Amino acid sequence: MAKVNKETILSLIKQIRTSESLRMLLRNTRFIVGISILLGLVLFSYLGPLFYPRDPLSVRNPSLLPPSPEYPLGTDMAGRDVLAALMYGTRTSLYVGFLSAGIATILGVIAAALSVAFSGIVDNVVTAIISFLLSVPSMLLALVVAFYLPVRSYEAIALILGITMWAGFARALRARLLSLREEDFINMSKVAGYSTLRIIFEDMMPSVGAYVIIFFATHIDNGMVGEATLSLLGLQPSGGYSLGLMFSQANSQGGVLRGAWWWFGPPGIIIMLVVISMLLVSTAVDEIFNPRLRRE
Amino acid sequence: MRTREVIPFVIYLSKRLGALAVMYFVTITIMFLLPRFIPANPVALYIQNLAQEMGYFSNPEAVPELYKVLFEEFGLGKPIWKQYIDFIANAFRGDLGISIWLNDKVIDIVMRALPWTLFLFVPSTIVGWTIGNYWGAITGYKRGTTFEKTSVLISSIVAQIPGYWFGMLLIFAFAINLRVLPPNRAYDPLIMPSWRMEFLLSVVKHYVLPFITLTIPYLCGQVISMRNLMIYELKSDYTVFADYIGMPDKVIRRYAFRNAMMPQVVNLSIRLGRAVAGTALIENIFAYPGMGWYLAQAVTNNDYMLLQGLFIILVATVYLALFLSDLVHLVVDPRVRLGYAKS
Amino acid sequence: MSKILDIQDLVSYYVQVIEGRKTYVKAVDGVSIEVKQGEVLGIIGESGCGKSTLARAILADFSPPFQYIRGSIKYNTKDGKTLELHKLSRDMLKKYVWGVEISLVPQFAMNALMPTLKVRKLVMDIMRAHFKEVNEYEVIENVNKVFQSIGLPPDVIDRYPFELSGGMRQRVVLGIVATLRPRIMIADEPTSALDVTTQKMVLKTMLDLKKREYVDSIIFITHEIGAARQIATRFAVMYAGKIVEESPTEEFIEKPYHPYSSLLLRAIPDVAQIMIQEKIVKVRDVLYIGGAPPSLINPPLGCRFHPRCPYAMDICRREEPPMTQIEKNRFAACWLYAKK
Repeated sequence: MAKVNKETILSLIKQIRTSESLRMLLRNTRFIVGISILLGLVLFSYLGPLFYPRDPLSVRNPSLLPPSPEYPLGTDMAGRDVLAALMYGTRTSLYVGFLSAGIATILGVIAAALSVAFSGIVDNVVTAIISFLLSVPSMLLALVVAFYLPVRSYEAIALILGITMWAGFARALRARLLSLREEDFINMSKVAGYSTLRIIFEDMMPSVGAYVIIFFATHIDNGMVGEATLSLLGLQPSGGYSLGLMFSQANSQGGVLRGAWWWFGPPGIIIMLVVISMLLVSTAVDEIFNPRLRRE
Repeated sequence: MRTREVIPFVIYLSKRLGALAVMYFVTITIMFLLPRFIPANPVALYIQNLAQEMGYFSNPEAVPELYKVLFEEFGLGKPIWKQYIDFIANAFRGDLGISIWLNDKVIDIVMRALPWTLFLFVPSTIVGWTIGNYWGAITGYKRGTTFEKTSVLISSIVAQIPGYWFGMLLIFAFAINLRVLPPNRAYDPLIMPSWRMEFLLSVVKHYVLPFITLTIPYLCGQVISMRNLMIYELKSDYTVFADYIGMPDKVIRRYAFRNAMMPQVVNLSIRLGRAVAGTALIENIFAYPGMGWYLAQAVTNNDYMLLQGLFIILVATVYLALFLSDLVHLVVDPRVRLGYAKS
Repeated sequence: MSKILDIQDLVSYYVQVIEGRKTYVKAVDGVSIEVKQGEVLGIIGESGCGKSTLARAILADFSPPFQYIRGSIKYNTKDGKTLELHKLSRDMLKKYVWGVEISLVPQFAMNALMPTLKVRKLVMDIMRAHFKEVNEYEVIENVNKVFQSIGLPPDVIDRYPFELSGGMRQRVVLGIVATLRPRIMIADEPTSALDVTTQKMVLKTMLDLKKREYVDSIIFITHEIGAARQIATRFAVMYAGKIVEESPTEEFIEKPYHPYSSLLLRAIPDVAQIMIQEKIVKVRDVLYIGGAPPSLINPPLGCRFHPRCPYAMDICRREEPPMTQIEKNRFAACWLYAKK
């Protein structure tokens, strides 16, 4: 077993710091815009309540009021202040999104690393699992698992979503690592006696780092949408409040039919903003780290 | 097809069919095992409730007895492997149990819902795929023009709109505000289903919004992917050579298009995997009585029998479609075909 | 031997917009060259000197960002007409010139065949692109004859490209080019990235095609002099977008005149040797090509080779040397030979 010791981490950090690509990234317009949107949303959901201290869950307000100075985004069927609910919901949804994307990324990296490091039986098993997961409609699987789950916390939902998302990523990552394995500088490390895990983390990871980051970024919104999907299909997480819940309530409580656009419109806009921001970020990263795509 | 191609063709298909069958069984087994290994599973709860209900009306003391009887009847007393065999055998015979919520045979419910889902899904995929690919190919060919830039911009954004939200917006715009189209259901509940014009018109009217909701984002996704594929093709070595040896632009475009289409055929199968969720959501938004709607209803009503039945049929449908798309891919791409002729 | 191709002072640049400003990559900067019937012209130079671009320019493929600036390309067709290629539209070129009169065998010949088409179909499509009446049977017979003469088995025509080996694919490309009977076959780096056996095979095939009169002349563009020398009758050395020396092969190999050629061949030109002995010229670096290939965006002033030339004199830094005739059929653009 390799010791992922202080030195390897420090060298990784140093690599990141001196990376010219990173500097180019930080100057790239699309990246900046994308990250700003995301940060804006985070600030909105976490700091918003400071400026707008209404209780998101209180159902004491009159129901289905259109936007007005008193209720900037109106109220929903149960009497909740939509703006306050939106802030709270965004917080939770972002949390689920990040968590599920993170789980998927970690699972994918581990699977790909294992597959490439210990080829043979391990590789075959991992590949088989990946193929299986990819052919099953992921949402159905998530649905069934969530249905039978005794406790439906947001973390559990994030875990389930993460499990359905990692397969495709692991397969692509494995392919890249495999082609990297044939490169000369890997062979040199082998000859120098580095252990397999050390090779993976020191030599291979930096090359695929961009890809990993892109995957993580583009799947945050997958996680959010996944949560919304499960909620809309009746599997709302117990307790708490999320954008998915807003959608599902708008649908089931007739908000849509009554034309309460202030209720189901904003959550969708939030999700679109997340999607667009992550799209921008990922195209920026792709452009910078993949020289073949740079503009001629 | 030449003789040298037929035999490997059949072998490959059989292998693929076998693999899919195995995966299907694994999936079904997992689904079977899940509730039986989780404590406080809805099955036991349901039986408990049922027993209590029945006991309430007759004899409260007899509840534990009733519970035991029902327990046996639902087969929970037998060893797991026996339950599994029963389950598989029943499924093969077409007996998927009784829906708790609707008190009807699950298989009947599912067979009623499936046509509606297919009716929505299949035309949407065909239209989205063909139009999207054509638009994408033209966009790829006209690289650098304003047409291309606008197409790419619009398509990338629209492709990412969540289907359910899009549906809600469309309902709001056309059904609530403009009142030109109905907001939900597959047909006017006041009209009896038949082949008469009145009914058919009603179906069409109710079809428009869900169809658009399902098709448009998919179409735009195809535009983007086809455009990228087309650009890649047009940059290829063999395109450049064909150009320099005098092949007219139109012919080159045709071949580039054909080559770019191949991955798109493969993508159809990926579409299936993803579209299940999307279609289900849209059915729910529009109260469209397809598999997706029944799925959500089963969940809300804790009807695990119906859920199970839907799951079995849905997964079977997906795998069948996967197999079909493999078949098409095999026929269309000579590389795959002959890859198995080389030994 | 009659002239087939006559290029006079051809100038064409790549136009790029970098950071808002138009920059010109001067890949072909005043090239004048002739190709006569029946000869094999070898154009040699380092990578980046503009020789592949020259191939494109000869074909008059001026599509953005490649722009025609000035000069003339005069070509005599098979039926005696004279065409000015730089004035023709792309459609005209495609229909009447490319493939049937002048053909390009690209650098990546192994990937030049469309992977999802059987060879037969590709050939038929190419034929239909140029001729109105196409009889499939005749065409296939024709093609098979060509293929057989270069050593390909007869069932190649019914195969898909991915079923053939790299060497076979190379020959198929050459065969297809030959079937159209072009007067000039331009081969762009046909031997780079090939092992020696395949190289020999390609060169032999090209010579065969010429011997059997499938092609009249060959323009062989490469940086591998050793390969080119085996079939070239004449050499033209290209540097920084210009031709710096022209000479028949054997005399060139024995005794190159331009200092750049000599560095390519690792031999010292006679005149330079004399001038060194008589201390007219000081030698800076002896016999190794120092420095990097010149930038085509901002080529050096005066003679473009002067920063790397061991025999650079004052005038070299200031003025460009004209192409001077040194012997019969031998030319060089160098102040060592030009009278000033």
